[in-house]
Amino acid sequence: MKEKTKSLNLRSGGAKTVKSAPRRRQCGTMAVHQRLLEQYPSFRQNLVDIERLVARRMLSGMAARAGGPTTIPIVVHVVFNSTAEDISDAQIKSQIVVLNKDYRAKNPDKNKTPTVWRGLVTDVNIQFALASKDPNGKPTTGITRTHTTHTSFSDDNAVKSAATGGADPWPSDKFLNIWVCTFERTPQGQLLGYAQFPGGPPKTDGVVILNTAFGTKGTATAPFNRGRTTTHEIGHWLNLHHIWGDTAHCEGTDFVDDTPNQQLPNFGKPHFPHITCSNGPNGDMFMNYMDYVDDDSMFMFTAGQVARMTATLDGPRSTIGT
Amino acid sequence: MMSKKVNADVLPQWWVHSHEEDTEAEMVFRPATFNFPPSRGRISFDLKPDGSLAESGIAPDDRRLETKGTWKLEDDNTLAFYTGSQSAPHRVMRITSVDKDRLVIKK
Ligand SMILES: [Zn+2]
Repeated sequence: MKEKTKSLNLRSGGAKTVKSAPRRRQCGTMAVHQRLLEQYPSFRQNLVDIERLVARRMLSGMAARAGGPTTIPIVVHVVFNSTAEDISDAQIKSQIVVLNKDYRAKNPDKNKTPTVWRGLVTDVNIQFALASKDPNGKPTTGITRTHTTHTSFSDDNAVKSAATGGADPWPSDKFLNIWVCTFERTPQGQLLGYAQFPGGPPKTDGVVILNTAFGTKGTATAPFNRGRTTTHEIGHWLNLHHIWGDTAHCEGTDFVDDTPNQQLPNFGKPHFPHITCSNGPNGDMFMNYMDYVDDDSMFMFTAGQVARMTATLDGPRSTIGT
Repeated sequence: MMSKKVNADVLPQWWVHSHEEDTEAEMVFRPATFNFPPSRGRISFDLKPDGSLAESGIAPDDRRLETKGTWKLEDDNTLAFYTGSQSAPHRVMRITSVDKDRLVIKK
């Protein structure tokens, strides 16, 4: 949730039941951001500009990009060491199918949304397609395959550059770059994916997904075999924040007005309602794509989240898609 | 209620959130050697015997967020984490129970 903004009126249907006290954005969130932004000084100013633009757009109504959906060309960079990591075209295409359901609210499991929030389930009006032309205008499958000597990657962007054992991006002002690789196993376990928010360095723009959490076929492995890791990471790429607000207390925010305030990430397959931060009777919106639950337990974006994504497409990502 | 003194000898370890074992009221941590299933993210804290602390959190873009600090066991059963020279802890956790392979704290 987000601190109340007077003229913001994105609520519909069940949104009336979402009520929570105004919250202050506190040092926890700021600290996280500061650490993140220290690496890229211009990223900070970009994010400030983007927040302003998003706020303006959301206030002026969100009819932008009315009409048909925006189609975003994707290039998938498969970076593999073993042959099993060189995932099939079919597995890649199964991921695109998931995105095209989730970003049009055509995913059948949205019917599992609790009744009180059904009115909030919103079509993002974005479609995705593997690129049919490469940066030079030549026909392409929209898939690159790179053999690497690295048996795994961390979250340090090395996979995004040929010089560090990965694959170079295609121009990120025209393509959504998705790298698919194996992440290192650390004492905290294995990452499923990571993203870059709008406004960051073009050379590393895009999302990175674990090969066994990509698509619904081939090496995709339960409980992360329904393609929702990519749905979640693209949410970040379109400027969405975690629904718990990235702090361990109740003062964090996801900068969205129609999601309940929530203390912590949820994991696994939670049962409704799960109450934190005095957000009863309905509790956490753990079935939102921006929580941390299993693939089969997340199935919705809200109107407020869609407004942020639409504003992002109209602003910092206006050069991408048709 | 009287606070229960915990066994401080087993505390200095690298503790990782075993969220699969959480209950409504408690969070469960296991040593880093535990065989964790894949997860979108796990927080952890490495309590070094010399009182230094390495925390790993979840960044807004799903990367790991590493921070350094110091830790103390206070009032027999309270873990307090400090950043830099600040006098107030940035995180305080009440320990319900701890042995060498399981740490349980109150949410
Ligand atoms: Zn995330």
